[in-house]
Amino acid sequence: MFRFICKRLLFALPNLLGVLVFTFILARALPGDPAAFLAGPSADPAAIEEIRRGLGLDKSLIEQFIFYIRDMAHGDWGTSWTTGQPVTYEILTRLPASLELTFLGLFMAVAAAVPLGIASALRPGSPVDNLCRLLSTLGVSMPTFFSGLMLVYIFYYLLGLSPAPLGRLPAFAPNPADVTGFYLLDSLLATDFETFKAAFTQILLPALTLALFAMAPLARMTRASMLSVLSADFIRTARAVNLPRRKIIISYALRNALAPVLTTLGMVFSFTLGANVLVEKVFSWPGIGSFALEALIISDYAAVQGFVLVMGILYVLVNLAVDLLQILGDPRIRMGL
Amino acid sequence: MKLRKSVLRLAASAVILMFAVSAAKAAPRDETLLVVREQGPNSMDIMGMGTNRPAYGLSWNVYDRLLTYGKMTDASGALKYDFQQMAPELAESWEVSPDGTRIVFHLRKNAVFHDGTPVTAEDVKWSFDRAVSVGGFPTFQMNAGSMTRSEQFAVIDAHTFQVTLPRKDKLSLPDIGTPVPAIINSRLARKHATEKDPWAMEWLKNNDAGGGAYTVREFKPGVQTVYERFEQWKSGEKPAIKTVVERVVPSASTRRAMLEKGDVDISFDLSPKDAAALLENKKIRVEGMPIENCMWFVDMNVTKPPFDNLKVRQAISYAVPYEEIFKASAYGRGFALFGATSARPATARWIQPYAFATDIAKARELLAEAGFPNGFTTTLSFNLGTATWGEPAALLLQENLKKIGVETRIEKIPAANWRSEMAKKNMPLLVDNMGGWLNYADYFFFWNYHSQNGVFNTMSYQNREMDAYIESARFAENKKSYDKSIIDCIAKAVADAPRLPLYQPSLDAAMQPGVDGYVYWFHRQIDYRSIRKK
Repeated sequence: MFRFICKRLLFALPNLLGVLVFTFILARALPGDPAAFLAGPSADPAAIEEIRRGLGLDKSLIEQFIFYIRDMAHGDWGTSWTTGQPVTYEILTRLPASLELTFLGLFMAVAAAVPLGIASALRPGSPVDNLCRLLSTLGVSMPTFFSGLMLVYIFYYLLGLSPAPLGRLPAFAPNPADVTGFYLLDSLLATDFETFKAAFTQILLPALTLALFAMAPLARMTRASMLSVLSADFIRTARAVNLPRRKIIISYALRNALAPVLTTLGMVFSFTLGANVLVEKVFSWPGIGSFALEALIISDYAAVQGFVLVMGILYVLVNLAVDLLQILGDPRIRMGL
Repeated sequence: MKLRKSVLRLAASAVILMFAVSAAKAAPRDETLLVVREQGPNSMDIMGMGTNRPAYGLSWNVYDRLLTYGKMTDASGALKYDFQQMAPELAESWEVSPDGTRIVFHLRKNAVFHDGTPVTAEDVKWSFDRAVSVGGFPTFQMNAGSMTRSEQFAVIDAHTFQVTLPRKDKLSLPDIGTPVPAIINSRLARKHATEKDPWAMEWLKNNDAGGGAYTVREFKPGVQTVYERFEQWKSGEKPAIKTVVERVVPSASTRRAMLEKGDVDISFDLSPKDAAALLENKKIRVEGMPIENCMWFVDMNVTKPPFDNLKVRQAISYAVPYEEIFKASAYGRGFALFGATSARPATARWIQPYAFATDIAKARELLAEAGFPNGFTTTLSFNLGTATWGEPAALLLQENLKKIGVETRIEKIPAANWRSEMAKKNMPLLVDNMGGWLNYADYFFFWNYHSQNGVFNTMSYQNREMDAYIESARFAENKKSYDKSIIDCIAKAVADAPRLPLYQPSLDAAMQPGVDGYVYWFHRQIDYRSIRKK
């Protein structure tokens, strides 16, 4: 097992190097001249040139790349021009915000999608199945910024049940002591239930928005996978020997049906992490997605590169985690190792 | 079954209660202010590289300048700064020598920085030296007031500071009141200076070394800034607001919803569409003010055929749908800059409408005279960063130009690229805006119409006569000759028609009715020192 993990991580290295080279080139292919942007509104060409030299942007691409790799190796990921802070600082403070939102959103999605998928697979064509189909279609076809705004309109503007969508905490609330960067966890660790409640009510709507979006593929996949497993021979046998219904569905059918669902979950996780940029915008969530979008708009090289690299690392880790879960869930794969 | 139902009901009401309690728990907030805006400051150093516009506001509240401006009430009853009247801030008095080349400032003797150290003339000199030495925008802005070298700044004694000027310049004092020459705690900053970084640029970017009315309690760029009142502030009346939270809320709909619900005090820098819509809401007060010395315009590059032909430019000037653009792009907010009756204005008032108007028949006629009876094809560019205003203007212009046979391809240029495209001077036709801090017509003309061909002269307009008018206005001895030169400038700009002004945009802030004391400033940021809550 340990060897397997090491091997996988080792194999990930060339991927990450590829990501490095690719984003470096891509970032420079973006339209826009950062020197002119930084020089501000009243700069003359000489001032712009001076800034270009200061940033090292007058050097050849190869030289720039060598400097970039050298700095990266020293833990210096450069400075974001949008916020004026080091990219590592931005990522360390913003990634937990995005992850917390994504985890909760996914948790809600799984909690709703898997039972729904199972129910509709057990009774295809029933009202439950139709409901599942309706929700999936809605989830896929409604853009997240739209469902986000709808939720804000209903729960905040009209009903007043939800707090103002001001980000992770209300305006005058103190931040919890920073341990994990996940406000829900940190406030619990500090046994500060006041802050926990505040953070929880703030995160509920954005997480729900994400969940609506992530639910669709999960429910569809659970349903399809369950249907195919339910028609398999061993289920028929289990039914024939009159095993308890619950045991058939949960222990035999679901466990076998879970593999593709897990794979889908990995994929959904990756793309919600990227796609929640719009949710972050609507709910003023200080996450990594909105940061990356801002950075792209003004050709903020260091920030874009840092963002893509972190995403690359996350993809690798998520895929690894999904594979490990598969191994745990399916003894056949374990034997094959 | 019944039990299950009641359990469900109980759970539901618990969730609702939880929401309701947290929503209702908005703290008593008469000394606190919650402001939402699209973008926050990216630096605490006004002289830093790449410092954005919201950072001007941070600097304004956290640092003091030697001088500030007086305040006045305009015709509509709104408060604005008075660009013609300088007022004491850190300097309690100042004297200008009779020939105008020497200014002596007397500092407040009791003023202290946020760490408690007294403010001395040494700090002032270090700050002024820094502004003229670091290069880029701050150095450039100092230059606008004829301050270029550190030899011009001298410490007379601990509380007396002197600026020497190469020649009398009416912009020097106003320039000292702009955010750029902010007074920095030099002893504190120097501790963080290194050999490579003698002006402590790195440290000052994220640290407060000011002595202004507010200290920065929390600085999270892109998320929020929290200001706390500095109780030992001596340079003005004690501000009424103790804590200001400035949150970045990127979505305009979210900002508007929170304002209408009464959860935030001020929503700043509204799009004209939101401002127009919020004006309908009687529970919200919208404070709008035309941005001084700023205009949206259509530029034609006079070096790019066929725009080198005056008749073509005049034809285009008749084809622009001014009124429609003003309505669609600015929602009628601001001030129309077209339709003057006389090409030579009667007064030197700035900004004022130019003598351009829509007349398609006349446009066709002029275009035929110019030798283009069937029109021509060209490119029309605008900056995506200001697409809210620029895009409707460009589309309406494109539509109207079609009527006279001029086909345009619209080119949307990303914000990051706009400045360098401007500098290249390759765009034949464009829609853009420009605004100057110092509210003087000659300042505007110098930047836009002078043949030094600066970056804002996107029409590449070069004309000796115009240069002479601009220079005589800049150093005019009296008001009469100044006014005449400005009238000459405007008349010449209309006659040669390289630029067609559309409108002067409005800076809009929406606030709860209980928020009072909002002042319009040339730097277009909020001065929290004057805000009160009823």
